[in-house]
Amino acid sequence: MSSVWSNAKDVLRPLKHSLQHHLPGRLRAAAPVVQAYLGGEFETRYTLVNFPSLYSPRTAHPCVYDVALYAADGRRVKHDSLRIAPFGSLEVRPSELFGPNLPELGMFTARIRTANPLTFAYKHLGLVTSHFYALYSDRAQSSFALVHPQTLVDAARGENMRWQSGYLLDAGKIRKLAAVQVNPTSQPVDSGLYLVRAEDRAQHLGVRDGCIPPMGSRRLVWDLPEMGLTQGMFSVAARGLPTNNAKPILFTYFNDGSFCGMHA
Amino acid sequence: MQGQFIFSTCNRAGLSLTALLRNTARSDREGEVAAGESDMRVGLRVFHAGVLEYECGDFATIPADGFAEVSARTCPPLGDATREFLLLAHCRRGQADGYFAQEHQVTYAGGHDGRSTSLLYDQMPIPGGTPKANSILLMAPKVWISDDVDTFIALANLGGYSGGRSGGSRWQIDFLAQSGAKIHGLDLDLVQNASHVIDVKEALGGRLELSDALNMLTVVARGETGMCAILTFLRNRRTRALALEHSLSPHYYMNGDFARVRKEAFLFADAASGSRS
Repeated sequence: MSSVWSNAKDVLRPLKHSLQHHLPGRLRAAAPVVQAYLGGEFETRYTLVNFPSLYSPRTAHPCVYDVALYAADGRRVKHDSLRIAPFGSLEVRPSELFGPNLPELGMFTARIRTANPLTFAYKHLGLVTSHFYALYSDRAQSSFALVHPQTLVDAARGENMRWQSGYLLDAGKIRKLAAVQVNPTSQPVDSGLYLVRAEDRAQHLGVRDGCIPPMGSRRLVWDLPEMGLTQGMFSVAARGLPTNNAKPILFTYFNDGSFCGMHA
Repeated sequence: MQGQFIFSTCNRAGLSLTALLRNTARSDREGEVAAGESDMRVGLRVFHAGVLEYECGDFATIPADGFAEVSARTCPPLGDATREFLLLAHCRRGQADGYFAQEHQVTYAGGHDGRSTSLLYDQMPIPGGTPKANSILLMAPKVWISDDVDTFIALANLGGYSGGRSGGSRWQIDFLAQSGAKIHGLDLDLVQNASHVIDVKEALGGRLELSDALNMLTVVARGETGMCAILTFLRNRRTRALALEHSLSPHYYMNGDFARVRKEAFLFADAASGSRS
């Protein structure tokens, strides 16, 4: 019986592939893409774009992004679906989209889909992953940080990883360092972030161990003069990351209080 | 093992460049360096407008976990803030010719106030034989302009080089509103082996009414290039705020038929004009 079934599957497989090729189908979308959210004294903007229409302009359709905002403790506090015209984009300011009383820290997720669930247009794109950037600023726009997302919800776990950023920070030029970590998984993750001098990788400075709840986040701050770190190059390193590419976003603060930011 | 890091000045935005070429072992490949051949040798070439202006075959030898600085202090052409330069660092570990991934760091400073912005990004493989020009599609949903804010896009357009002045390559650059409407388009002949910095506000030439609120646009560029490193700079002229990010190639957000995408994406101009006629 099993051999009959196996033979039947072999016979039907080309037919199945042919149907899949010729029939319309849903846009195949990867898991939601995640990025840190900063509220309170910060303004955060995300830039969703209808990129499938730019890739397939003669059969361009609107797209929809399903977006959500999670608080630092992992609670989903707001969500929405946003339609974007062909060739269009959308600047999402959570403070405008979701209204007041948002958390000061959290995580934003976005997942693209087509407005028309059955379409031929984008089958050649294969598996698509949502595409957006985040712009962080203070309210007076005296500082900017423009950062692309790095990981997806439930990407491969990285809790056993040891990681050191290739980024060399000059302690003589910055006063304070902040790192924002998100945990886009369904499990709590233990992670330790610390600083490493370029000339002494063995010594871990300012170790910040902690457990990040599922879909949660945390923000860590190092006051460099307080730590005696006032000159020389140093890097950020981690013992354990929530996913294998969930590296922290870094914000470096200058003496005048302004900051810039980057993926680590 | 080898790779090439393509980077660019952005003097047009009033920014001075310092790059730190790194020789690190990534956490997933620590054995690579531990196995020996840990030094990274660097050759540096600097182009302006398709002409090789500076070449140093042994610019630096970087030990494991070390770095070499490329700045006006170590690379004389960078002292000229009136022109744009494309810099090409050829990085080699050991004798094999395969590619190794290595991130390097660029920092752009906005003046004498200590403000700067930095970025890490990867070196690229070195193509074998004569470099072939491929179509490229850039999507930059990260352009903002306002009364005080401007965005600069630096295209470091690398091609083959055999002496003299390099040829050009056709590029079409479109500025799209969030509605999808095309605000403006540029047809440019960009010289290879050169860095081209697009000042978005200047390019738009007053086609958008500005205010003190940030107006987000998407810039879509289609062109032919051997290889291209594209950086986007955001600057507030009044507050001196500064930000920087690189672009992501299409393989970050699709995994299907890239050849078809490259071909169809170039139909955008026809499709966009047809849909609005």
